[in-house]
Amino acid sequence: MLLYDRLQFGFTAAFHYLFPQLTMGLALFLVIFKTSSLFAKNPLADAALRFWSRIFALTFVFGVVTGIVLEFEFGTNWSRFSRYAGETVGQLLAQEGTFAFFLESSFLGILLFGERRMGPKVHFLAAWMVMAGSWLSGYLVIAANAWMQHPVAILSAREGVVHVSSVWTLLANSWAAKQYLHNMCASVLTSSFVVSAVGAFYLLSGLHRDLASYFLRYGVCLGLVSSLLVIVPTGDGESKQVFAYQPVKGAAMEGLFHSEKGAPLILVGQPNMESESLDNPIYLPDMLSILTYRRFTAEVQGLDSFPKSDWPDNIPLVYYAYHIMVGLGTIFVATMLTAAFFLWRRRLFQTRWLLWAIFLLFPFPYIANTAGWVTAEAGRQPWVVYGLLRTVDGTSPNVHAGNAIFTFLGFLGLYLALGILFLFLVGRRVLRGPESAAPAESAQGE
Amino acid sequence: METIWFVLLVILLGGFVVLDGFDFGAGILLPWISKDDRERRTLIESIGPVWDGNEVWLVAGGGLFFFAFPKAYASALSGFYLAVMIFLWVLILRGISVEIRSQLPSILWRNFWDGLFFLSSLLAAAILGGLLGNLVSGVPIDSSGNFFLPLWTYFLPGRHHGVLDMATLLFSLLAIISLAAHGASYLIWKTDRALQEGAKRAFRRLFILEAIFVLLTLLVVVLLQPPLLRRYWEAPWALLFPGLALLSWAAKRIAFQKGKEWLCFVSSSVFLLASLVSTAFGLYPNLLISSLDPSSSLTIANSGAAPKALSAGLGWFAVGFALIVLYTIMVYRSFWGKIRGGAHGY
Repeated sequence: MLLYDRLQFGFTAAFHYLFPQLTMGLALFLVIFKTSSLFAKNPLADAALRFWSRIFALTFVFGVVTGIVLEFEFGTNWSRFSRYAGETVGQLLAQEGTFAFFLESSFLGILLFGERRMGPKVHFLAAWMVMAGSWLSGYLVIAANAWMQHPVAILSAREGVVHVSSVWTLLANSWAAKQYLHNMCASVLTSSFVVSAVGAFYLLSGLHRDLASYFLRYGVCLGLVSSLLVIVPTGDGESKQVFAYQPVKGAAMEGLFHSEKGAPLILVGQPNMESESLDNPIYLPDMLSILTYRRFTAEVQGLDSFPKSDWPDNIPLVYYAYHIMVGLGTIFVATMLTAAFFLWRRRLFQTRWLLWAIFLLFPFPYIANTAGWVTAEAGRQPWVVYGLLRTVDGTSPNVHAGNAIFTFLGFLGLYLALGILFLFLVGRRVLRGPESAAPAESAQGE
Repeated sequence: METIWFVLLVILLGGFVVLDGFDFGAGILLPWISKDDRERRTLIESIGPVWDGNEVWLVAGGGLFFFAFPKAYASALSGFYLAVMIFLWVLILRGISVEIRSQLPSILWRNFWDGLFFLSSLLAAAILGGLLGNLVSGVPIDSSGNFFLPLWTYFLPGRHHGVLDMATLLFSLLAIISLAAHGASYLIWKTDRALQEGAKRAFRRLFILEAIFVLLTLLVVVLLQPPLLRRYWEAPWALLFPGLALLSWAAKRIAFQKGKEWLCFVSSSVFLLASLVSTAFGLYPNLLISSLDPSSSLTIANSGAAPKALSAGLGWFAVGFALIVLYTIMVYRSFWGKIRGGAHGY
């Protein structure tokens, strides 16, 4: 039973997050394009805005419809958790609906349909408000997750209900701030790669040269900044807080079975749960101690320092997810540094191998983002609220496996269809290019 | 304090029913009142900029329910598990259909999504109505505060009923009919020419049908759940709400006759809201009535969050609600007026 609840929630959440990670970052691009179009009167910015706001709209809708599911899944599959966390997670989700979603959806309507009716200034404001709404909703969701990772403000937790001192303490959770910055940098990274990849694709195909170079310029600049920030300081800060508050998750992430002074940083290797050691390891000696505690000889606690009942129940998954994220993050920095260097030397738009690399890399930020969330959530196990409520005690006792498997399979099928549909529609938009702006589209409708 | 949150929850869910209700209704009417692709496109465009904002009322209402009455939220959503999940699937299909039907010129593509939009709107309304029926007729909550209802058993009300039985199916039909009527009043206001004529025809036909179904469901409520009416006996001033419903039902017809389209839509909205408030008043202070044992019912007193959290929550929600009203007015003002095919670029 627990298995299907977890599979369903994990799958629906991961699938949902494929969309907001693009829209939150893309909202920043839309603001930049609109600002440049309004103040610098740059016609390319205008074309870029029109092109990307359509892709934004499509992605937004997929994000909305898959997001509504999550809000109700707390109650359907996790009723004991919902009773427990109404004041915390429930309150933050209520705030998200009240403050962020209304803001975002109201101004998105104006951003998409209202340029002619409302004038350029209101349109400019709408771009900013859409970004504010989507970034605010990101913060409130992360604050809810942060409370599950690092439960603060607790007054009492009796009879399956937790009471907290105030919602402001939940919002000011130090865990949330670090996790949010890391997450938003990663979201900007995804959108930077997507914008750059479309630019690279057009250049390689010899299409829309001006606009393609414009995409690449902004994509590479924001991509470089975000790929660096996602590692230092935000990723570094995130991993330090894991070692400070969730050391057993940290040990699982790093594949550190035994406590060591001068712990190594594992680059490659396969956790062997039978022998509780790492097969085929390649590592940098002492590096983990330096990264975590800034000292060569600092002791890092391994899994053997903790009772097995507190170990994440799928250590290899946590370990691989984390290493995939970190490995990809390194590749992103290398790519964006190279691209930025070529852009500076004015050779990027002619360097085909590099354009190919940028074009082909766009799916990987999605993988890195998903892997990061798998690390955070699978690593939090066996707790749903860290140290307080075990996941197994959070389920709905009245919903039986047969029903949960039915809906899980339903989600698999429905989301597979949605995914194919989304790729088809976005692919078609990209192939048709920026020329097919609004007038052509409505003319076809007649 | 719990009472205030009960009222707020009714307001948010009422906002959802009134606002998203008209786009559900437009979807239900789509195959009946539009003749060609151009008309269908106009119909979709009339709800295009607002439907997802309308649905946010559901999201906000759901969040508020989770926060203010976590025990009832947990129990209701897990108890209605399959109905809730199918409702969510249907909402996904609806949202996608609206947004992508005009993305390809192919007529097959558009027919497919229009058909799906109709079916999903119909099913969504039916499930909402069925759930309302269950709130009224009660669910088998045991002493642990849980219940579980299959979608259906043998369609008869009784000890082992499902979400759908003859009584709650009546609520489903009522929801389909009244949301379709509401959608018609919206389309009369927002469209013109042939599409508006179609909406007017639908409005006339649904008007009497709606009244018949309201009376039928009232009869069922009297038979199934007399305590609901006892509330009105205790507090006769509350007859104001059903009175308002009756009045606005008549008003929408008069406004329709006189060609006051906006007034007709407003009356239709007030009618839905007043009917909902009348039901909620009958339920109060219960959130979920137990059909097994009245003492197991989930009330605002035994399933609410801590009073301290609720009063603190009122602070931020007051600000939030003012913003919600502001945004809603802004959006409807900026898309004021008739929709004509292809008027907006998108």
